Amino acid sequence: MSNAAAARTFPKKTAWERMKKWFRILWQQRALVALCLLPLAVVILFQYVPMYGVLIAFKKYKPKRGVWGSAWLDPWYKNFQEFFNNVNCEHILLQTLKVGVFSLIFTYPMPILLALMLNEVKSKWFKRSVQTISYLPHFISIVVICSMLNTFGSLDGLFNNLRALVGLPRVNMNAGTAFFMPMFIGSAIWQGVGWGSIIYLSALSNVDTSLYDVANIDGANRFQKIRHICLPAILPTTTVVLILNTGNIFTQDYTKILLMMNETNRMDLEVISTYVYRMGIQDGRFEFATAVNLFVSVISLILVVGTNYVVRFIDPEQSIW
Amino acid sequence: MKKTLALVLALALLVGCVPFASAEGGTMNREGLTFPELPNNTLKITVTTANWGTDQLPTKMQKLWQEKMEAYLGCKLDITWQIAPWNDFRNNESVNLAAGDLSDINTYSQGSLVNGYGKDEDGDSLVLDIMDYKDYLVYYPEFVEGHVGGWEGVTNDDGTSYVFWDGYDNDLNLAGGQSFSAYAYRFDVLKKYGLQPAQTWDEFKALCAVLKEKIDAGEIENAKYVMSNGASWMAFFRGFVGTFHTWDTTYWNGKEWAFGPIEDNFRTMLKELHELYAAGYIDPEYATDDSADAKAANGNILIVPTNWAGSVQSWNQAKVSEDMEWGLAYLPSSEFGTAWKWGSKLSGKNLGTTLTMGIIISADTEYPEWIVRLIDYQYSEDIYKMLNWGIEGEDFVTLEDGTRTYVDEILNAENPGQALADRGIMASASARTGIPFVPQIFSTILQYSSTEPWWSAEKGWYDGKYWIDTAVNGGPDSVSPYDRAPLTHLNEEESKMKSTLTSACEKYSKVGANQFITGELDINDDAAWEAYVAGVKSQTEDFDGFFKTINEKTDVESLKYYK
Repeated sequence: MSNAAAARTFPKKTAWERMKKWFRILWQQRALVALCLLPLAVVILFQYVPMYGVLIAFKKYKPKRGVWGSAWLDPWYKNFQEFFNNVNCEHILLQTLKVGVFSLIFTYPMPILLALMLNEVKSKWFKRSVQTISYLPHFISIVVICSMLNTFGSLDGLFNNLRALVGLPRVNMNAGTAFFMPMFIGSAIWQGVGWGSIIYLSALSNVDTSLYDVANIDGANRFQKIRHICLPAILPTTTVVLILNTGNIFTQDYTKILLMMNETNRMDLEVISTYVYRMGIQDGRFEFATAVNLFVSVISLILVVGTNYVVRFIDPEQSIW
Repeated sequence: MKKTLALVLALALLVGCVPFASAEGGTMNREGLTFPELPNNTLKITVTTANWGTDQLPTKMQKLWQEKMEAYLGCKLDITWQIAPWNDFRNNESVNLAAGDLSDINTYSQGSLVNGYGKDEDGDSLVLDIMDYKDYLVYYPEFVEGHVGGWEGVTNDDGTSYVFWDGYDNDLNLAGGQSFSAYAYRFDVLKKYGLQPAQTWDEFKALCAVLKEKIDAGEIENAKYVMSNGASWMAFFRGFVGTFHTWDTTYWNGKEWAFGPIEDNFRTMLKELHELYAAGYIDPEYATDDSADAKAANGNILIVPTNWAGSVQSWNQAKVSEDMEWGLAYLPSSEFGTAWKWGSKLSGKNLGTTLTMGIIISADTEYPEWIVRLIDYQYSEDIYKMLNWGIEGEDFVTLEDGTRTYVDEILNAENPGQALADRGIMASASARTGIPFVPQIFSTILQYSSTEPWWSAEKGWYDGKYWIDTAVNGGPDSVSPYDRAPLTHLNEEESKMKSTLTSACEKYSKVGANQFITGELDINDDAAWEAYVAGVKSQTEDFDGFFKTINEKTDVESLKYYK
């Protein structure tokens, strides 16, 4: 080995030395560490500590005996077995997937489109007005939204008035399942598109304006500028949002579905979250509801990891980890 | 000097500690029963209960209740109240039970569900077994004796009993229905066209046809549909099941325990309702619209078959035109005979037809003997008559024939129910004093309740009262088998199973039934019906097995009690 090569070889650090270095860095950045302590404590206290409660999914839970004191189920997977043996299991899973996937397909791109369109608007007052108006529905309670949907979908409601204008017959849109999906997703878009666009507008505001100047010199039209400047600029953000939204496919806003249910569609609209609510909260079967929700959490984790893997496979720079 | 002072202080400490130690661990005897001694002679407890519209705590009767209780128990009561609105209370009740979150004393409304939290194989329990303190009961047994099977009827198959069930004093011995026992009609419309409420199902269909013609001809102002539901959350068919001799959940059908919505009679009813729907008599929004009360008060509908007792009065108060008049007539009979009414009351002192509401005690409570004694005293005439009638001279007077009547100040008040509630008198049910549930007296409820328009073939048009006229017009044949069911003892697992089955299967059947009514599913198609029945059964692990068990565990001999 030459002297030069020997000089490039560093002695390997021991674990103790690495730890000492880690603590030294922490000490040097103690102000930042102090800032993180409170949020970290909140996460540990409210996200990790309660996790021991998932144990009741495997136990014959008796409140008097507590989580640890309750006996283990025999077999330990009895609650999961009961869920998978339930004849409604397949329907509930499919309905959950259907609502989740359609929600993702239709609600995910809308804020991106709105952000791109607003980015092209030159008039500042118009842009700000549109932004403010589009944010407002985000602050309306879900109960009010569902009440509005119920009123609009009734025989004399707004939606039926619009149908009548174009010569379509009046129908009770709140009954059955035929109009559930358009009303569920349409209202979600209406309520979330403005609020969801904020993050993309923020990303677009960081684009170096000289890029637009260069594009102008090169004779690029608006669509070409969007394609070659704006979209690459927000790509990391869109990717992160997509990965996180994918994890939510099985955990939709169950309160909205619950509020849209009635005696003509209750069983057809059942998704995992409403099922867990019904079994856990209404029927007081905490252990069974915990088992079902644990199953959903595992599926969601797989979806997030899987999506990240796909993204990393396509473009390693865009993946979260 | 210092030594003397130290000695005095030490002695004072000792003297102070000795009675305290005795109070903590000591017992006392009263009437041959052993009671633990209370610190400072004060029973300090927490009570979780509900509010039914009027805050009961500041009322005169609540204060009197506490005074009487303290005098009876011979100790001070220090109660911490946890009170939630009734609807919230009911929504959270099963969660609180599942979480083991109980106060010393708790109002309860979930029927046999509590058995799932009773003694396990090791004897551990979340709730107190009253039978362990049976010797301490003086007044409750009189109400128990009025229940089918007496003590056997209120105990589980392992001999336990976890609830002080809600008592009822039917001093008039009238078997009036609770609700859903009469159809509401627009009397002004019927009178105008020389029509009358239907006595039979065929008459009902014919009446619907006539009214539809009038509506289509624009003869009836504001009217859009012949009929609708009393509220979207109520199963529309609940107003019809009595006519077709079936029911909307698990019930005793006179021969066995069955699930009503899969019976042949239920299918027959759905066929008839589908015919009515197809003919355009039923509001298409009957199952989804929350504004049924407004539709009734605005005159958009002419018949409401499914309604609460009291609905007609509220519609008549909110009506948009002075000419409008809502009234009631007993359910029409059918090929199956006289229509069954719901909730036919038992005679005398009893615990109601279904054991659903009551009071439970935490098994962890420190002084169960005192608490059992306290609850038991609420079943004494001394307490429950006071809370139902109030104070003689102030709230009621005794007439020459010995009967009681509320004072004019209450009866002539703009809202007699509220006048009673403000005093803490339970008859209005808006303020429930004591620790709910305290037994109610039938005659007090009838006293303050105002009259409403009624019709019967014998009397024609007249003013009546729901709980009297459903008894009189229905007659003895209208008492349904499910209101006079035999004894059935279920263990912890079976009780839970019954609760889960009822909840899950009911939800499924409601949706299916509505789909049959609207024609989304074809009620005349055997395959569709069989698929629906299979769907209902699949909502629970072993539907048929459960009904086999429950029927095997039913003591049919106990039916003799009702005769």
